[in-house]
Amino acid sequence: MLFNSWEYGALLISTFFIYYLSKRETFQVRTLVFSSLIFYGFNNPWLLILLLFSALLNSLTSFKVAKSEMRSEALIWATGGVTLNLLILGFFKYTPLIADSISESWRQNDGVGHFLTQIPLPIGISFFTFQGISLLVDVYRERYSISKQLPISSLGKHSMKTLFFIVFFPQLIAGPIVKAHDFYFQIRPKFLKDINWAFVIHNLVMGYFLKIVIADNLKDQTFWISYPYFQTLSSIDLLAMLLGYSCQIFADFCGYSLIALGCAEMFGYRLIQNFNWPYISRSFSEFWNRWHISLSSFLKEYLYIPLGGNRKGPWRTYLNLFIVMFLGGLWHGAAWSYAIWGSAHGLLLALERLLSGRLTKLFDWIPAKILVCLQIILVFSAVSFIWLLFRLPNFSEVLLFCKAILNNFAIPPGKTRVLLNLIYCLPIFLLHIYQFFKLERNFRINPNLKFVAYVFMFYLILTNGGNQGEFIYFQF
Amino acid sequence: MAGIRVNSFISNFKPTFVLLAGFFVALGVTHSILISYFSRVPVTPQNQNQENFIKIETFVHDLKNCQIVLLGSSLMALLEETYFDDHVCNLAFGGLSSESGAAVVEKSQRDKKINKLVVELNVQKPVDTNMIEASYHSLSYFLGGVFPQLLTRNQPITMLLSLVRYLNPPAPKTVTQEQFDTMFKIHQLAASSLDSTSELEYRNHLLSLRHRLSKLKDTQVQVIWLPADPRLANANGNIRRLQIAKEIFDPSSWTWIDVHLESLETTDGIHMTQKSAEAFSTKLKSFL
Repeated sequence: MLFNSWEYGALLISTFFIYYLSKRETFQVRTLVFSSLIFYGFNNPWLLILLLFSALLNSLTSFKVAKSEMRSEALIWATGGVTLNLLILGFFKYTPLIADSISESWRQNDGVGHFLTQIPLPIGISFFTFQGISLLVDVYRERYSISKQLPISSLGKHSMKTLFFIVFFPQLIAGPIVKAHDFYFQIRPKFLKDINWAFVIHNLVMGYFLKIVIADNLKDQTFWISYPYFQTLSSIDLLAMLLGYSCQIFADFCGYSLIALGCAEMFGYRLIQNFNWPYISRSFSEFWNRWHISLSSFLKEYLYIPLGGNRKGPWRTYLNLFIVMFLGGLWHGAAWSYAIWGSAHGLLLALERLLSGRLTKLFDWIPAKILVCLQIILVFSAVSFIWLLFRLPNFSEVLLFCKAILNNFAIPPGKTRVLLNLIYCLPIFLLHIYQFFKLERNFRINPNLKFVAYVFMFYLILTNGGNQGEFIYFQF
Repeated sequence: MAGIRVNSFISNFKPTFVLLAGFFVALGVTHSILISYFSRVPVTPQNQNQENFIKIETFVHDLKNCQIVLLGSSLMALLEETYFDDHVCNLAFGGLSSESGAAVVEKSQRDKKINKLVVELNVQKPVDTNMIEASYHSLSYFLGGVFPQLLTRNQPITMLLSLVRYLNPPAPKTVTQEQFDTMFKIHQLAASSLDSTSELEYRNHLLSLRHRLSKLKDTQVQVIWLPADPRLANANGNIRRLQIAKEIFDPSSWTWIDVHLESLETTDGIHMTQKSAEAFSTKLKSFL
């Protein structure tokens, strides 16, 4: 079910009214679980089997981790649980890629090879599997910690809470990836009077504006990035579309995350903010602190730090950064271009760390304000260019696109296409510039003016929506 | 703490609510005035998808009296309605094919009397049910008749674009030789042969289209094969497609329109230039 569908609107409203009929935690949790299962299984109920299996696996193994008397036993359960989660993810997400990479003759037969390339990707599997891993690691860590945010009493109660944690519909399909220690303590009776409506309205209006008005309209402009069409377009068109795609992917994913936050708040749950205006980043490390925050913090907490982080010398730090970003890239999709995308970011992060001191000295003659602008432009351009690997998962097409940018300057640009890309990118730039000045100069807009802006955005949601499209991150 | 926040928000919000509602209404009224003021400006869609939506909307909301309807793909979509008489509507969709148009006609069959359908057979693709469902479940479908602000053709950015194009009419689309060659090679590859899977797909789509067209009562159906660059038209794959089309839409039972164009010009081997499309439409008019 899509956030921008009528069915979702009906489900959200009916769940909201039923949810607050009772002040009992059990009733409220069950209501949300029931709605979440409808949400997930609406188009394909068979998908529920894997989702429920994942919830069962994680509740049983995490319960065992919590109740094991010996540390070694707990470690075995935790490791086993994490391994099973990774195996499930690997089987559904990466088997087709591996099978595709193996010889063609093996695939052509109607045997195992062919079967493996045809395995469907259950929607949201990357997100709910990571949440399961987070639960296991957090429960294991908490055994040796003073703070107890994951109280586990009986298996029945724990299973229901785990099921709820895994399937809670606002974050189920495309995040934000919620960590167990950020969520379980929030499970308690909720009251209508506690809803922060300002937060809800802000997130829903901004989220739907970004998705329906910006991302859905840009989607039809950037469609022509597809092979072979881009070969016939001018370099200016290609650059405008690259800019458009950069804004589209931000608007699409940030929009989704904001809607998720707004919807979760309606039920009294506060999810992690997933985006913090990433295109004003002055460095690649800052970019990753602002883009898909729930994933980068997950990778930092559960992969980068356990690998040694920056505690084992500079070269090990560079290697760790590269490994984390390479795996982060592969997490996005089962295609080598995603791995290249992640590796490119890993390399940039490592290079930045290696050269930052020297570069600061080298450019200290440039006035600070200009330097900041140059840094922002540089990071934005590099990030936008690397997004191409998301849009064209076939690497040879990426190379053709680059070639077309260099060769097609003689072709006259399509003015309408360039104009529309710029028009729909404009709100994204204005929002980022506003955030920049808010941070730098403590600039604030009159609250009433803010409400006027929300009304304007709401009006555009009603009157200027693009052709309804799936969220880009659904495929991950 | 949360309670205080909510109360302060609501108390802050209440006095401004009326102003905000007023602002919303003012936006709507201004938009409405602009719509009527610019009603004579021809609509320039922002993209192919929107063009398709606008066509459905125009058809569904009776914005035009459609007695003869053209169905097809992007090849047929090039035949602009302005080249024909007022009662001709073009429901040919870029990126799709005749069957999607036939599905729209089928859905509106109860409310509309269509005398004739002209159906292109060159390109066949599955029906875009998402697009059709979205068109029939949108705010514009339910409320567009009362609030024209909700119609796709009246989107603020579409209006702005239409105005810009109206004030600065673009020159007819031209392509460089390099652009032509790039796309021509791709079409040539597709036209060179028809493998068994593609043949089966093409045949099935045609059968499905025929089934859909057969259900339309009191509507005369004429089918048409649009011309292409001779190098593509005479390629094995295209010859085979035409054979299959004639097999399924047997000329002894279905009316085929045969329009000959002396000098056909295309932008990529299959899509007619504006000049050719206009000339072709003029000839086609005599068959309608």
